[in-house]
Amino acid sequence: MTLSALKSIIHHRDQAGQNMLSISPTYMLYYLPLIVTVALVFGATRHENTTLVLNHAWQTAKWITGFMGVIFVVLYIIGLLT
Amino acid sequence: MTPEEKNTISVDGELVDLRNRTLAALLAWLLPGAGHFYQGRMTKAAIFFICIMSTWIFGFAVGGSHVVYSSWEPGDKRWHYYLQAGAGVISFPAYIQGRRMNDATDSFTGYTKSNYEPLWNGFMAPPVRPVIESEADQVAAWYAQRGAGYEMGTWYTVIAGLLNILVIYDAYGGPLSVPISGRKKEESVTEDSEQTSE
Repeated sequence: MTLSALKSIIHHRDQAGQNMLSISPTYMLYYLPLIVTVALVFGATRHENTTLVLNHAWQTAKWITGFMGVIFVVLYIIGLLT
Repeated sequence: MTPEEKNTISVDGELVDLRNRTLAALLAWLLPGAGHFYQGRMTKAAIFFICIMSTWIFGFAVGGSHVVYSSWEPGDKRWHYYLQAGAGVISFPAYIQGRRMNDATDSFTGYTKSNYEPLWNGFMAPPVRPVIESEADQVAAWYAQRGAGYEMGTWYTVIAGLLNILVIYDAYGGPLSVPISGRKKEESVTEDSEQTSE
């Protein structure tokens, strides 16, 4: 692989990375109150016992965060390859 | 079976008296958590009230207090309002303002009449008509003022309204069923905690 080809790939990746994170990371803060609310309401609409509500909320928060994380990684990789 | 027994359900080993289900559901819609408060389910009432109202109000504030309005005009079909209204009485002013704007709109031209004055200093009032996509109308000005906050505020209020639909169901019929996979996990957690306590 020539040096120019390597530079081209790095430049391409850099561009892709910038595109993926073209918004300020502080926008991610909008996610925090939303996940707390959604998880707690989901948990509380499935149980009466407070411990079970909190346990369900924690599981829901982890599941949603994990799901969105996977989507982010997939899109990021697609961004790098295209 | 007495009416009390008919409205009593067993969930998580606890007996819950749903009282008058229809009234509870109506209260839950009008004010998130009010239906559960009426049924004596205080912890859940507090969770629903704090979570849903704070989400709705936060979204309303982030969106510059213009994200909740009622309009169904060409170029401005605000379908979001039907979901935002899920949070109940807090979105009623928008309905009143929307009706008032409809009365003040010329049915032939689609323009707002010049004598139109919104109530309450324009609180939850729809934009002055016409709203035409790609033109510098009032909606475009709201977007320009708040940037991404306008979109974010819209979604926060929509999500709050949608969450309250789950709450209304819970007030009417009790907790939703847990998916089978989740039920297995929770049963094992409950069994573990029972064994530990023994």
